[in-house]
Amino acid sequence: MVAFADAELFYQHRVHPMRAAFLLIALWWVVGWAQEPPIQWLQRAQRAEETLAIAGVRVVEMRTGRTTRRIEEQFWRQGARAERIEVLAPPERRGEVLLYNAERWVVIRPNTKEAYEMPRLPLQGAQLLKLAVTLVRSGVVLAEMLPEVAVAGRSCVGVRLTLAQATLKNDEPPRPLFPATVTLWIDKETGFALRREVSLDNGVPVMRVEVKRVELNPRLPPELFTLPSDVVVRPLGGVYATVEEAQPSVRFPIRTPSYLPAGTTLERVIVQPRLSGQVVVLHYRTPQARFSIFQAHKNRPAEFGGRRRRARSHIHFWQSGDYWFAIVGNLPKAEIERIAQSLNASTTGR
Amino acid sequence: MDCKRCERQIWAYVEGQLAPVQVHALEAHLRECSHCQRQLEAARVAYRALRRLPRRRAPADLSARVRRQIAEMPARSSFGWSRLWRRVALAPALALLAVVAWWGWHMQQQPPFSDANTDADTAEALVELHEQLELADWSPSPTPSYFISTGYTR
Repeated sequence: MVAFADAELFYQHRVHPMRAAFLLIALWWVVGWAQEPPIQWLQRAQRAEETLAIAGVRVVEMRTGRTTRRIEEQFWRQGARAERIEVLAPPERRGEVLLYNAERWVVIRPNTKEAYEMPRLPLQGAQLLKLAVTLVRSGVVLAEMLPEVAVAGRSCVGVRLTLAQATLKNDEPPRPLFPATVTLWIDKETGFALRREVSLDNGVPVMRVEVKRVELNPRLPPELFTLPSDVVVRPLGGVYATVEEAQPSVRFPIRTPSYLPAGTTLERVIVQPRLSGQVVVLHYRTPQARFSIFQAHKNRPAEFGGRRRRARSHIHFWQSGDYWFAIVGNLPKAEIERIAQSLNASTTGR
Repeated sequence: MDCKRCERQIWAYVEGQLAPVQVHALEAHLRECSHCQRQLEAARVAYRALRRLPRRRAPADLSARVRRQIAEMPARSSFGWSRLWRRVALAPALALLAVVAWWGWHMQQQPPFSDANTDADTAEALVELHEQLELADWSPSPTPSYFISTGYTR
């Protein structure tokens, strides 16, 4: 009797199979959204970077050693296709405009009819996110979600990316080319990363990029991204893509190493005027590391040399004939020494 | 760049002897400084005036005539206050010259990557610059990269 009553009750209140399926799907979607894995947030951020029309004000702060740099700028973005940046601070650089259009960056300085084309830039926001997705998938970078916070008045989820093996030890293979930690705060509505923190060493952020004011789908007239017609474009002095381009502005022959690790590419050549002469920086990148070769020419050599090591960089500096050299980077020590020897050989070979 | 440095470089600029980076820095300063603009204009006027001066060859016997006139000049008295003063002033002037020469030589000896004196400071400066380059590449904005190449201040 009791069993019969239960069965009747069951049939009276039974749930239609289709309805149950819908309920299950909805439940799965809600739970799934709430626990959206970090990799999906990274992909959303990448898509937003590539497609979103957005404007605002952002602040970049970089702290290296004893130096802290702060840049404030207004920006207008049309996805990854076009961008305009107007510098607000530091005051000495206020009013300079950086324009990205037709796959090149051009700088316009205020009150001039000249613009300067910047050499190709190694990484952009979207490429960084794409790289992060690849490294998270391969397990080289670990990703974790952080509690929500508000950035520029908008609700953001936090994603922290940590390199699985962050410290550089002697004689071990170099780690992948990625900062020790990158933390992103991604706008829940649009997917745009409104704050980023990067640390190279020990988790202490050394670069923070934060959007302070944001405007979604702003009016972006084409002239915003177009150079005025009467402006003459010249190459930007001081930074070059190749040694050959840099050489005419340097008063001594630039030395290049005859040995470089496999897969090394030259990212840029920087020529810096210093009180005691010009310094040339060759900034290289390998699939796993970055390193810089510094060189200057002096007529009267003095004692100068040594080896040092920081948590993630080896530093080797020495003098060879009339040249000062230094190599800094997160390459293994043996590789740095091999490059140094090849630089000496190139010096004596000339 | 400040006015003092700008004034030091103005003649090299007028004569087209500055490196492109220095030209950019100087021009940026000139755009904002009316004082230096006037200095530049004055230097240009003087430079043009000098260029316009006619070039004449000295007479062939000029050297012989000068020597002859010097030989014919009456000899000075062996003592005079002005001559004494010149001799007294010579010593500090030479000392000052020696100090300036030493300072110039000393500056040449500094590792060019840093204005600091020690290896540790030089190493630190190199690492800072390398890390700035590395950080700039992770920035979504190209501005840090641009500023590292051209200097944060103008």
